[in-house]
Amino acid sequence: MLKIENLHVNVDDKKILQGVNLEINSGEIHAIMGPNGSGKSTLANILAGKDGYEIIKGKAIFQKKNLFDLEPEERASEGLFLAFQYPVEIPGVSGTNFLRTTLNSIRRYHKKKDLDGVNFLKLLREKAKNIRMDEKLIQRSVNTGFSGGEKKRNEILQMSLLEPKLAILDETDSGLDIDALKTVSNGVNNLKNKNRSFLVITHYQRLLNYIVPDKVHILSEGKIVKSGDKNLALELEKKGYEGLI
Amino acid sequence: MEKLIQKFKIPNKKIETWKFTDLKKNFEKNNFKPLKKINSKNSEINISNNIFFDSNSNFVIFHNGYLNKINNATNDFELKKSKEIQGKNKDEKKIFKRSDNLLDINESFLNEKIEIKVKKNTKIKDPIFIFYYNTENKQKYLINNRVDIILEENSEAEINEIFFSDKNSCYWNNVHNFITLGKNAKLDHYKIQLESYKALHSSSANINCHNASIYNNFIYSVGGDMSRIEVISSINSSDVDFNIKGLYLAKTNQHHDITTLMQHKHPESKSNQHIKGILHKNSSGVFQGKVIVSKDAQKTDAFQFNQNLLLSEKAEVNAKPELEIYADDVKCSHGATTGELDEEMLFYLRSRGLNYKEAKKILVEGFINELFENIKNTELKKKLFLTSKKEVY
Repeated sequence: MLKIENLHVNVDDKKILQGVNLEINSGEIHAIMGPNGSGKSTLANILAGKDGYEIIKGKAIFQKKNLFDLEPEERASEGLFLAFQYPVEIPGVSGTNFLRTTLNSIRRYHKKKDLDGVNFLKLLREKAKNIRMDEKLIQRSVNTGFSGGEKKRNEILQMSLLEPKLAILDETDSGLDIDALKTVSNGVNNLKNKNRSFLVITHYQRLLNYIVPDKVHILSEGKIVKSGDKNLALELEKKGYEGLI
Repeated sequence: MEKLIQKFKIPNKKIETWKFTDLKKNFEKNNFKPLKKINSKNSEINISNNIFFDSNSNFVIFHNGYLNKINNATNDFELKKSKEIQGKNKDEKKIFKRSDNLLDINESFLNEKIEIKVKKNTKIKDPIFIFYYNTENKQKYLINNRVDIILEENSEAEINEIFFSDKNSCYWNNVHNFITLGKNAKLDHYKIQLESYKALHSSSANINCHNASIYNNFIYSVGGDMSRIEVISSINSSDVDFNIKGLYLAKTNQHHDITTLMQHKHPESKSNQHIKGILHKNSSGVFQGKVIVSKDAQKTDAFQFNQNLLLSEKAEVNAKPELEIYADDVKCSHGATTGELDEEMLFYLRSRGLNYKEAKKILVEGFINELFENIKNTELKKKLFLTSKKEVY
């Protein structure tokens, strides 16, 4: 599904990623944990195609395509999804309109017909219900005036609508209370199947009680310094980063 | 007539309030001649292809500066025609702090003036539409209209002015409103400027506000070669609620100017302005917003915000917010931002599968919609939205 080889990335001449290797197979859930400033969000952003990063060396192959040759929208259309750590507010753009435009844009990429208004709304209602998101919230301007939890829920709604092959969750748990954490995790678990993979980026082990990873990696100073199974996260919780790195 | 107009000092860059809009230059380029009434019978014109026109609504149609048709469908307001301003002009210039000659030109070459009056305690349910329709003429012409609006105590109305024309008409439309709002009166006032791309538009709304009156102004300006729209208040009492929402969309070489002056002369009133501009290609835009709070106008609440979206490196914006505050217990704020599309928003949309062009379109529409969300008349909102969609590319 995704293979990252020896990835080096700079931001303003500062070395952020310094040789990341990572392979995620179909149906796997990987977690990346690491202290602040270790490069977790940089990794997420560079995979999604955000500007402002300089790739020094290395590559990322996604679905047999070189990810760095693709525009952000092509990556999305190929099935890559990033749930943002800080989803941006877009005043004046109604959520419903936004979601329908994105879904149809991706359908067109795959030479599928647009979903009409009626069928789209039916689908949207069903997805919103699954993650207990108020429909009125979706009709409002995208993320505008949403609470932290509502924004994160909105990310999960988009994910379940777009049904990506690989979803990267960048600190989706931050700012969530325990109930929201459960609903968000359920949203992820409902989408889990043998053809879909997840890369969960998190600070804390807490989220991994709900989304159980196949593999856990520890990122430190731009490198994956340790990999293991879900028990690595528990060990980390006990010993802290200092004890493990 | 030709000689006469040269006698007037046409607003130009040397006048402080016209620093960014050289109307004289545009005037000289076109050499507009004041239009006289065509002697042949003024036949009724058909404007049914205008999206805002509804034959069952209250409406007034000016055709090339002259009244063409009036429909007082609900019969709950008075409409008077008159040709004279009778020297009111001098006082008005003082009250609304005019340092230029636009009103004098309007008075001297006035084509037609109307007065709309809504009586005490009358609430007009249906909006009154005023259409200013200009057709092509052999000569480039100047039109002067004046529309006075009086809302008596406890009355309510919605007045929607629509400026439009044939595609190639070349004219200068110089139209001024004088509005008096009585105690507790409420006016929703929409100004929709869709002039031909060859036209010069200069208009002003001058509003006298009495106790607890509410004025909601909405400007939508997309037409004209050069356009200057002014809103000037004289807030003479307390509990006045004065609002302006404005949007201009400048394309190719257009020049759009929205200039406002809030005069808080009495304590405990509020004014709120939100003006947006979108600029394409070689266009230019101006927002000048001045707020004056007199010494006596304590507890004034005045807010002003200007946001400009530059969609071309060649487009230019001049934003000049000014506060002149002489009272010490007031809440006043102003701000202005000018920039390109937000990178974070663009990336967010693209990461969801939209290409750059689609993402840009959604963001520009959103920028417009944020202002349209304030429109209470849902029918009008729908039509404005449809009209604006054609302007986004």
